[in-house]
Amino acid sequence: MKNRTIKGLERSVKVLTILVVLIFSVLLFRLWYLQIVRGEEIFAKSSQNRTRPIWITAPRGNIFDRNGELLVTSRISHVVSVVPEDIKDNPYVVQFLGRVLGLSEEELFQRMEERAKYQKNQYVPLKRDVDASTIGQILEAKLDLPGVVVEDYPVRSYPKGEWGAHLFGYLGEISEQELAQRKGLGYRLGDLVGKMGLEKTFDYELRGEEAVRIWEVDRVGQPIRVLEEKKYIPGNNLHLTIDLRLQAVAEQALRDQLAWAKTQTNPQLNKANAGSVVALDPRNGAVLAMVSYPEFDPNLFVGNITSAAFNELINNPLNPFSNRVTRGQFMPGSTFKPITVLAALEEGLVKPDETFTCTGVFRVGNRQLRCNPAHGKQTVVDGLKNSCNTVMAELALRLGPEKLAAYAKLLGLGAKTGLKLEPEDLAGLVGDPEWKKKARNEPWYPMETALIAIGQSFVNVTPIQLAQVYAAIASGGQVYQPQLVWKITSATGETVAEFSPKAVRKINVKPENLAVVREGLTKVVQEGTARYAFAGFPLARIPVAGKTGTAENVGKNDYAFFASYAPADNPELVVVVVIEEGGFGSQAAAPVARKIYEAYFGLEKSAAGATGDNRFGGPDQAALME
Amino acid sequence: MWDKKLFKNIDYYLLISVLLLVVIGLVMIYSATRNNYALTGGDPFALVKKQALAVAMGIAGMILIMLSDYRFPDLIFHILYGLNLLLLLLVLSPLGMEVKGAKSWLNLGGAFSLQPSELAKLLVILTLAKHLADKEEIDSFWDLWSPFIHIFFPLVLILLQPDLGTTLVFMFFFFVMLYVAGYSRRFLLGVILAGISALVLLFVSHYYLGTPLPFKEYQIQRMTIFLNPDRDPTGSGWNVRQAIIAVGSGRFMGKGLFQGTQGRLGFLPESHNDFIFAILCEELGFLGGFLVLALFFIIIWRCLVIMQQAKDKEGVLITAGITAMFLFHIMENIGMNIGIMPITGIPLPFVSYGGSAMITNLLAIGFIENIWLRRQKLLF
Repeated sequence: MKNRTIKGLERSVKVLTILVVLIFSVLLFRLWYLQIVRGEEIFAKSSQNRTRPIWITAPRGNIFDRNGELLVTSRISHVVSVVPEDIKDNPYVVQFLGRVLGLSEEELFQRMEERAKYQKNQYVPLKRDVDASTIGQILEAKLDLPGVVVEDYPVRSYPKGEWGAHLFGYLGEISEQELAQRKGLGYRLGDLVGKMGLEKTFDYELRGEEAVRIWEVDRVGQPIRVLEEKKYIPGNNLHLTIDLRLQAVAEQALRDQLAWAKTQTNPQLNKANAGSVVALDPRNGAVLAMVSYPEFDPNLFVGNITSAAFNELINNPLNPFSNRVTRGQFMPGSTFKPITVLAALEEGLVKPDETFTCTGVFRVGNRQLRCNPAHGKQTVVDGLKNSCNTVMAELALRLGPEKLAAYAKLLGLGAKTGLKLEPEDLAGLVGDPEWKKKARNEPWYPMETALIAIGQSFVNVTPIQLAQVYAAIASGGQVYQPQLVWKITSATGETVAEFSPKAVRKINVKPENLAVVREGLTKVVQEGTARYAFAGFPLARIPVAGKTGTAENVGKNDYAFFASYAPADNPELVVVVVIEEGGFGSQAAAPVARKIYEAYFGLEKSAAGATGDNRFGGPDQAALME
Repeated sequence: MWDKKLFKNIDYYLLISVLLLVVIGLVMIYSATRNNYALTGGDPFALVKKQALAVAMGIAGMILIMLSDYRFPDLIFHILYGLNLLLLLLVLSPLGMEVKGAKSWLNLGGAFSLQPSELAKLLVILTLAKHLADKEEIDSFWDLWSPFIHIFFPLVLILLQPDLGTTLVFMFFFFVMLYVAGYSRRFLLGVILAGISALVLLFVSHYYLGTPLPFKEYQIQRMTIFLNPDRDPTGSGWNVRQAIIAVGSGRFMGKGLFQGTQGRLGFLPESHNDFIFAILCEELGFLGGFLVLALFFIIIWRCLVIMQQAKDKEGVLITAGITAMFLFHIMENIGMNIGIMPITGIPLPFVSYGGSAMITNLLAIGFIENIWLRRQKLLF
């Protein structure tokens, strides 16, 4: 082998050296750019790459009645959550989940899309309250299901079923609008929140603080280990003023009454299909029972309600979601009459001993108001007892519409009661000439004043308002804001907040005038329109005061009312009952109130009045208007 | 055979840099595979052990080569050239194993297999250097074309596997060797331009006339995705994106040895092989990446020095070929790890997992040291 040198070797090496330095410079520069210049940003990306947070709902607080009886609680179930990005391109997982969870592919993708809208790379709940056998199937196939986790999940449980549905409300997934309203309060898309009732009003108190678990996942989304965990804080408990025992009686009594009405041949009665009951303590405004019928079962909403069940509720013409106690606006009929009497007495337009003559027809201009039967000579007390329209119409004309409306408003009509319950109660209506001009641009007719005096035409009340009016009469003029929650406690039992009774105002009326009204109301039950409903009730021991009402509604059967309190001399309980299309208040509504008083005062069920057949009769039966 | 002087004259810069890279490689292979049950079958050291065995074999081969003289008799070169073609043919025969669409492996029984295209690089460099060195002058037409014919057969066999990455390595060291051998630059430039024109023509006629391409669709996709990995972030752009995330997320100090997540959690596939540099950068940060670059720079620098001091034309050309081979591997592998080169599946010398490559590279170092040891006659 000869030793030969290469021409121009030095030059070639020089060129190669330049090439090498160039290549290494580019590599080093790029490395510096990625790791130093963009390091932090890319580091964040790698964390997002490998971590999938999951938020685990805290158990909502329990709801207790005033005696500590459990009304609403949570049970432990399971939720199946997925990371949409991790499973959407995996047909096996999609198919498997669809099959075991009973979801079509479209439903599944729709849910993921809805819930993952603003949330990338994290678990979103796909189906809640999944039964144990389905969970078993999923856990068995776990290794083939990247992007899927099963977590414990507290499911709201309403052991009383339909009872108190409007009080408690129900839970549903937070809407985008609600989310926007509650910005900064820790709400997230996919959360279950109270949609109505106390669940909504006190949602923030009840929900607690959710747990966060940050999973480290591999490329396909299979969880490897928990990197970080924050435990949840259970929600606070609500202690209601509701008395479960009384609520149960009210629920049952209302149902029984509607069932009984259905069996009647009387066409005035057998169309009754809805109603409301409210019982409160006139001494402090505490609501002891509240029923709006028809109801719904809030348990339906805790998992994923089927659209069939939901549609059935939505399409019910009676609207089971409406809380009739706070949002049903009715013409109060004769239950309005105490206001008329009180107003006239206070204005000095009538003396308690003055007598009116009822001929059965009262003329106002060229129109006439009928009173059936003709009551003859009547004082104002008699007028209340017999529910005489003539007396009221006469008083109304003396008062004039403005004054009548002013007293109605003074007692609480035409304004929200301030009850803390979603949705808010309605204000009702107390019409006067000014209102009519504004709302309808029509003049006021004197006849309309007379109609308002008997609770017809331009006057609308909610049952809770009516209860507040009767509470004011019962308590001697003290008006309290109706109240449902008296205490909030933490999960460990410490008191978080306590709500004392809230006096809204004191109605400045002369005690002797109020006494006249109260006498009239007491006589209604003892010897007036409600006497048959309370036949056999120990009125001597526990005198009940109240007023029946039968309100006319165009195109519908009359609405039956009974507004009352007891004991008449030292009132502890106000009860208002409304039976829609139930006909006479004395027949349809008063028996329900009676059962509530019997329960409240611990009375034995008396034979008379316990069944419907015997509870009504006498002169009022033919009355057109009570 | 052994000589104390010989021992004293070893280029330790080169040797120690290589050994350091080998050690770094073993540690990183452990990091990348210890949790990958599918690869290790439960023994976290399984791949490290296999790689260590290749290292041992490679070092043994390297020592043997250092002790012999690179100036083998002509017959040996003919045999080596023939052996190379034989192995490359065997790979294409039913004896070859297909992995991920390429028939690049020969099963040697058990868990061992050989990748002849790795060995082919060194064998072609050696035989081509001999071929070029034997030319007295470069003046006739035949002098210009014989090296092309020399490289043509192995290259076609490798392209048939198909192994595009290795083909590119061949092209690179081939032209560097011709350049160093003194071929006219105008001629080489002309050939390169002609090659590029042919390639352009091939694509133009493919897209306008529908003629078939000698590449597979996925190869083209893989070659071009690095320009915009977001074009197909979950498909062919995945690896580039994940590699960049791994590298960048290491920041200055790294996430700590064995603390990386991109490889362990499977975001970055082939993390013990093609993308080991990304894993290293993730765990050891810019410091680690810089260290590896520096060690490679030392290796290339020493190679260039040795090339200049080689005793004869053959030594110069062998060194040039091996230097070019390393340089291209480094540029291409690190480049694709940091998103500036297409993904071709070329391993990082001394670091990536792979026995055939490791042995080939250590043998190559053996030749370089051999040339260095024999640079001056007076030493012997």
